[in-house]
Amino acid sequence: MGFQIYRAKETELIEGCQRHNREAQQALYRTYSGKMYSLCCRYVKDRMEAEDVLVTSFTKIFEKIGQYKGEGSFEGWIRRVVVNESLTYLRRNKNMYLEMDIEAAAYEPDYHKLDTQLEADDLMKMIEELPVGYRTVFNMYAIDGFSHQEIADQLGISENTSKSQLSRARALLQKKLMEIEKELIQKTN
Amino acid sequence: MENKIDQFFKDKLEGHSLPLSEEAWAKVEANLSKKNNVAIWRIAAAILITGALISVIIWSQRDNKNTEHVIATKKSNKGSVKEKPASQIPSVEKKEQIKSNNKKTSTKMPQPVSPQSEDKMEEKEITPIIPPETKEETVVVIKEIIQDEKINTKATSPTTIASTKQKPIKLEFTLEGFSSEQPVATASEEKSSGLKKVWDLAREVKNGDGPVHEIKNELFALSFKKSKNQ
Repeated sequence: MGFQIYRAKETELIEGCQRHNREAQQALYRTYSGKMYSLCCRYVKDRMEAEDVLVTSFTKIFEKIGQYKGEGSFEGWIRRVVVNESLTYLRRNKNMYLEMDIEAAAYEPDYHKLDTQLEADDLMKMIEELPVGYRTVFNMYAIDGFSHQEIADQLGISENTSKSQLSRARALLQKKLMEIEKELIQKTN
Repeated sequence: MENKIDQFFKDKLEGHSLPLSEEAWAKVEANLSKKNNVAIWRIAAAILITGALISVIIWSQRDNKNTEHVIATKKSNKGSVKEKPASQIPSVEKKEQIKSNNKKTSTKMPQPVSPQSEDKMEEKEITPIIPPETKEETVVVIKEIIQDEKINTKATSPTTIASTKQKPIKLEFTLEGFSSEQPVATASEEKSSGLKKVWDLAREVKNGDGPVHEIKNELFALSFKKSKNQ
């Protein structure tokens, strides 16, 4: 019941935006801007630049909202637009693929323990510290649900490069998580 | 192991949101109104251009109508000359008229003609359609043609060899196809009885029968005899 009401509200908002109603546009912006800003910050390290990307993304969303035909979730559609815009920014501004040899960690951290101790903001920081190539592939694959084929097409790289970037990103994140775990253990002791 | 990291980050970050400055919405609004203004200007420009195009088209059509009217009046003047009865026109005048008609048709329906015989072809084209009254004139014309021994044109009916001692003379007659692709000319021609006669004669010659064909054969025979005597 609650889901149906939410869907009806969302449809109303979308229709309002398709008619270029400013109030509907603002309401839609308020609903999704925080989440989408977080997404932008995962891809674009600098917060100010991430905000610019978000502004461009929402401008495009309102311009192209007529193209959304109700297939798939609306949030998913918005998410794709914002990811594409972030990638456009990265292509324009950064050297994407920094190769780094990272040794695989010997053992896994305790994710359950870390989950209670670490906040989302801490994880955001960890992702932001990744080299841009790793960060992009990890964000796309692990969090935003792109396949290696899609990543390869979007970034103009081979699927194998995408896979190797992902495994290196994972190795780096794992190392950092273990360091944090060590610190936490030392604190409790 | 790898999926656990992915899942860990996904669970924590997928629904995560960050606070955003109020300025961001103002920027989005500014962008949208800017785009709207651009769209309005584009629409205005498109309307202006289409309006200009339509006016140019209407103007050019009016011009065409005026020129057509002038041409039509000229044609009607020409037509009144043609409408004179054939018996009243002197034979020389008639010949000229026929020539000009043939020229018109030949320009409309070009046929392969060898360059050296192009001028004489015009005369040659006329010869079969001259009515029997102008017999003497046709003799002169045909003599001229015979001096040109070979005239290669699109063949219709190769004819007569007078004697075996002489070189074989091949004469070929080409007639313009009287097709229905001459709507204006034929319509005006059909009105005049003289031109209708000419039309019928031309058909007879084309088919290879009728009095004109016989006269032509006789004349050729005579001229060959003459040249033999020479």
